[in-house]
Amino acid sequence: MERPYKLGRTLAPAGDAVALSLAPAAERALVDNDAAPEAPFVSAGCDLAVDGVSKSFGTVTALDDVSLSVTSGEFVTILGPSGCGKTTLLRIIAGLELADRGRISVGGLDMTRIPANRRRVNTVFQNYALFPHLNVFENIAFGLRARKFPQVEVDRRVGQALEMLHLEEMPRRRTSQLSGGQKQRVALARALVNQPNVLLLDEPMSALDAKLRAEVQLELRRLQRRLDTTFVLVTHDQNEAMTVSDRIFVMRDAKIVQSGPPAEVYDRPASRFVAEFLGTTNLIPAWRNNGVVHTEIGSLMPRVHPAWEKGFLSIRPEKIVIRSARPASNGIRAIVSEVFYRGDHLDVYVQPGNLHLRGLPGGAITPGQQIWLELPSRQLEAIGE
Amino acid sequence: MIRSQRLPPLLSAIAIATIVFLYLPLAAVAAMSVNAARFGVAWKGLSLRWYAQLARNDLVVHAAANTLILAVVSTAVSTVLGTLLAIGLERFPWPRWMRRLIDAVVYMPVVTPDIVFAVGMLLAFEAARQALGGLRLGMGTMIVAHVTFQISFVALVVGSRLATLGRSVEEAARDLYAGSWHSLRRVTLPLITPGIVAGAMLAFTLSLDDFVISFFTSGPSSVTLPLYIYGSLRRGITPDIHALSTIVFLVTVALVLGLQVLARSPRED
Amino acid sequence: MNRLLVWYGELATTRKLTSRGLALLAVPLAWIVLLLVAPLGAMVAWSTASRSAAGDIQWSFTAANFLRLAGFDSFGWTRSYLMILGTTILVSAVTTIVTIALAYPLAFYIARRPPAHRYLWLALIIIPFCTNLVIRTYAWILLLGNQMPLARLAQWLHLVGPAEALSPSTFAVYIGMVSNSLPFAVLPLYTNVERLDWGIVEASRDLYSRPVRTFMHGILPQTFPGLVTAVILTFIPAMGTFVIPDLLGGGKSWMLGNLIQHQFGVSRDFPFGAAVSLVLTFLTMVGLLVLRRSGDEVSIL
Repeated sequence: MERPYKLGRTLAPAGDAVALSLAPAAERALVDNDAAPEAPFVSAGCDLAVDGVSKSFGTVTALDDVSLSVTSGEFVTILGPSGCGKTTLLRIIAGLELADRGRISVGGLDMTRIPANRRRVNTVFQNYALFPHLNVFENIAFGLRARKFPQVEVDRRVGQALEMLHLEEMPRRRTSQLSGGQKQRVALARALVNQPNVLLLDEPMSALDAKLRAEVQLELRRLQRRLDTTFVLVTHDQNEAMTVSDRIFVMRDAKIVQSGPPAEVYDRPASRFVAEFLGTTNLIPAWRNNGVVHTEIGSLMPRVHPAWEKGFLSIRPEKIVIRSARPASNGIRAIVSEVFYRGDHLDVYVQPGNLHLRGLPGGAITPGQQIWLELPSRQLEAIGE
Repeated sequence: MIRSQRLPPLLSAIAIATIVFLYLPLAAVAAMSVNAARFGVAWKGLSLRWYAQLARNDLVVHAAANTLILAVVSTAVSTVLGTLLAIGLERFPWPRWMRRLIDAVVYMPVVTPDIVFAVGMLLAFEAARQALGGLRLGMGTMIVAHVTFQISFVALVVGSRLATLGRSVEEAARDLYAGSWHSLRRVTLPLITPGIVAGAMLAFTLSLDDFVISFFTSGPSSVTLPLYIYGSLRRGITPDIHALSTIVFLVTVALVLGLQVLARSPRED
Repeated sequence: MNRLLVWYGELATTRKLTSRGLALLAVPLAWIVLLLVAPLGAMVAWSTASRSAAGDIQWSFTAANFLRLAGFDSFGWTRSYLMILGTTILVSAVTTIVTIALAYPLAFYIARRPPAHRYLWLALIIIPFCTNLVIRTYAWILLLGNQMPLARLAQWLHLVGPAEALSPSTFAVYIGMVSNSLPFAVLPLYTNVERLDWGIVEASRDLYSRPVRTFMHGILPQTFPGLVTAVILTFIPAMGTFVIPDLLGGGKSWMLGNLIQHQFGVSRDFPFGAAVSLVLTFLTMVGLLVLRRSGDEVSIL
């Protein structure tokens, strides 16, 4: 795991428990919901730092000492199963939840105790949370009106936002008359029109069908490149995370368990959980004895950390190669047990070890056939329990 | 679902007869109101003389005015108070015991039998008279009494609207730079307006429909239409009461249906 | 302790939220407490007071008023007040049964109309109730009068004497009570009947050929929550009525409501009136609790 973000001088050291009891004077100074937004004077994206944040609801720990840093203009994804605390993290960044301890900063400014309406951070909510009593135009204009922008400026900016998200046809439409995809674009426009330093997206595509979701993912990526804003997306969909992000933070049980660019996290999973959560993988129980790695299907040469002793070897199905003859190293003699035709590829299961292979082999493969497999060293990752 | 089964004819007949049973007495009153006969129920020809006579009856005109004043003022006061109560109850992190306590107080006017409620009011006014002196039963006490039971109904209707609203839209407003006032004025209030209107309509209908509480808390100067009709039942019915009842029925129905249409019509941007 | 928290997106302290919430609640809560809760409490004190021969109230802390309702007074035991108590429960129970018996067919009838028409039919049930109770009750007095067709029919059948009216009578009280509670039974039943799973009804029709058993096994369990609500909305208000027995019963079938009204009206016996009010409230609350509990059990099943 990488080092926690180096904090600017405006911030106290991380991990300090923040006393939540306040003196009355301090309370007045802090809780001023109607002051101007607290933000750096930049209209593009900003750095975001989450430093040692913990949060629990009653006896349930939602976040346990979570730290992460995002650089300006980066698109990151927080990926994890439901209930891992990822939405809570997003709400704390937005100011809709208060961390028990730890700090949040945007563009080097401490936002930990700044109310949501004074953070230049906007959110696309999971259920969109559009205002049902306002039409599309007024939904998008809401943030500008709240900050008392002159009408001319509101018209100009909302016009731009409508155009950017292909909503020119429907500014007067009521939100109840919109399709799921249109609602989502209104929610995006409503957030982006404010030129936030950081845009937060809470599972924005969970309500869309698979085809539309793929389109929106590409659109989102293009939009983010064009605007150069910092995007933080929360999702449980590993495909989505792979498609859109510069970097993925994988969360499990209130903690970040691995982070890095999509290819790195996919190819070099640090744990059994990450290997299984991102796509499918073959897990082969293995142990090291006198420098040699043994498995039930023979000894193999994986990428191995010096400290690794016992656990699993993980290899993605598409990385296993079928050979006509015995390979030089890491070769296994196997019998095909099942073959499934998937259109653009085959899924093949072989014995021993019930390995799963994916790909489009040159020749025909039939059950019962004897084949040679190569498990390339570079793709064979040794991971812990 | 199997919907092809027809209802047994006997059940349909009972259903239709029940509806007739609800309307028959009202139809009889309406028929008598245009009967020229002064005494008895024998048909003596069509006449609108009882309606004309009614308009000349100062007592009736006065009672009608009282009824409306009572309903309008008590509805206005209780709508404001009930809405405050609902927001105060639904939108603050009260401990469980406190919520239960407030809930119990709010439900009290709803579950107390009318007559006991009326007697309670009477005792309250009696105590106030002894403490303050000079308190007379009349329009003031009637309005206070009506507000007391209307508050709860308004609070329950508005409260359920607030509860279904949830947190997300208000959080979205905050996320979009709205301060407390802007969020209340532009999001919360517009979204609970249908609830407030429905609560006010319910309060208004309850006030018009009440007899028992008015009966105990009114004074000689604050006779309302139901009280007037009740009084004339004791003195002996004259045919203009039929006309009055018919008018009250038609006006109330028109009022309630009108308010329904008003509340349903989509607001323009 | 004063804690910082985010509440509906607002960063606030518990102290700030508490004071703001209390400011909102203060007036309406004080209103209800002062005008209703406190008087109901005072009623307990009133019910244990007594009147001197001169009519002055003495705060004597006596159970005499309750004993009087049970029939014991200075002259020994009479059953007159207990009869009123019995009448109240009997009339309310019969009213509830008859109302429910009429409401079921009506709910089924409306549920079988085309969906677009159902609201019109429901409105048809509710509209008569826009009129004041006094007018509706008077309308029955008129309709049951001795020269009207209904009374003529009864006279011809020798159910009543010649030239006699059907009102005032116990029969008239029942008529008035049932017509006054019908929509409160129809609406909750309708919401259940509309969502009825007809597959279960069909299955029980195959199993039990008799309609009564089909109803008991196929329809009743599915509409039970609505039935409980209907019973609450019929039985509870019926216990407290006084206008209908007053106008349609002609003093012959007094209920607790009439007794209370009499004590606070003509006889000015506030202590006894308070005692009767408390008994009525107690019975109502017990009824409500029992019925709500049976409703809860069903919703858990």
